[in-house]
Amino acid sequence: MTFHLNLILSILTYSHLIISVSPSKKDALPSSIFMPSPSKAGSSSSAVPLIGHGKLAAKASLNSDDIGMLFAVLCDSCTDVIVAVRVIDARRFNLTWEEEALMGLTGRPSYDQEPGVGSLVLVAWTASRYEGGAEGRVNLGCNLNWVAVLNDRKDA
Amino acid sequence: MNCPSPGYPVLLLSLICVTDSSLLEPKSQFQKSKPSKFITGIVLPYEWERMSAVLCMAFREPSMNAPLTEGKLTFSTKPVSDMACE
Repeated sequence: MTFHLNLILSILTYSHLIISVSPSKKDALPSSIFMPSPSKAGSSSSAVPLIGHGKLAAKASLNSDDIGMLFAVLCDSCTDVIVAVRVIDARRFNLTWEEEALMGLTGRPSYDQEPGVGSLVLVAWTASRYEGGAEGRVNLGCNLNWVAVLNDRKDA
Repeated sequence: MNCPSPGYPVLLLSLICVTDSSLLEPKSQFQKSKPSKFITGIVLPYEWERMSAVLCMAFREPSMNAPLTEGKLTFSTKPVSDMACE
């Protein structure tokens, strides 16, 4: 499990994220997820929150500490809130900054769609134990918290 | 790696290859079950063996029943009727 986690974090570190959060969670978000908007010259500038279509969208290159904090904040109190995170490798898609920002602002196309069959998805979940059935068997509950689409087959 | 104290929340990460998904709209997974948002997929080879070993150890259970059918694992939210948010 540790090996996979390290592998995944290394993938995320070198990718761009567009994050959709339900409005009810907006106030709980730390300001640091509003990532700095890079200028065309490559230097960082002031933080720019990207908000569109009733959702909070942030776009970032995150390190492992940021992702850990993001998990903790987004999944702390309500397992019913699904935060869909779209991982975009700018090099793969050859997007400019303006095109990526537009995708975040308009909320398309990523997290408004179901991942297609065969997509590679990173699932963050919590485990719960409960007893059920006539024999009182012990069951495992896999509570969905967070989804990141790493490679959507609909893009192919 | 230090084991966290009892009651410490732990978030688990798993890579899956999607076979079914209902993330946007709640749907019943089984007949007579309450609708919920879920995603189902096939985990990586040996992932389930590692997961089951760790989870049974964490819950101090010799065995547990899991929603694992044909190598596919389902992750779901609570039923919509129990939703506290949204």
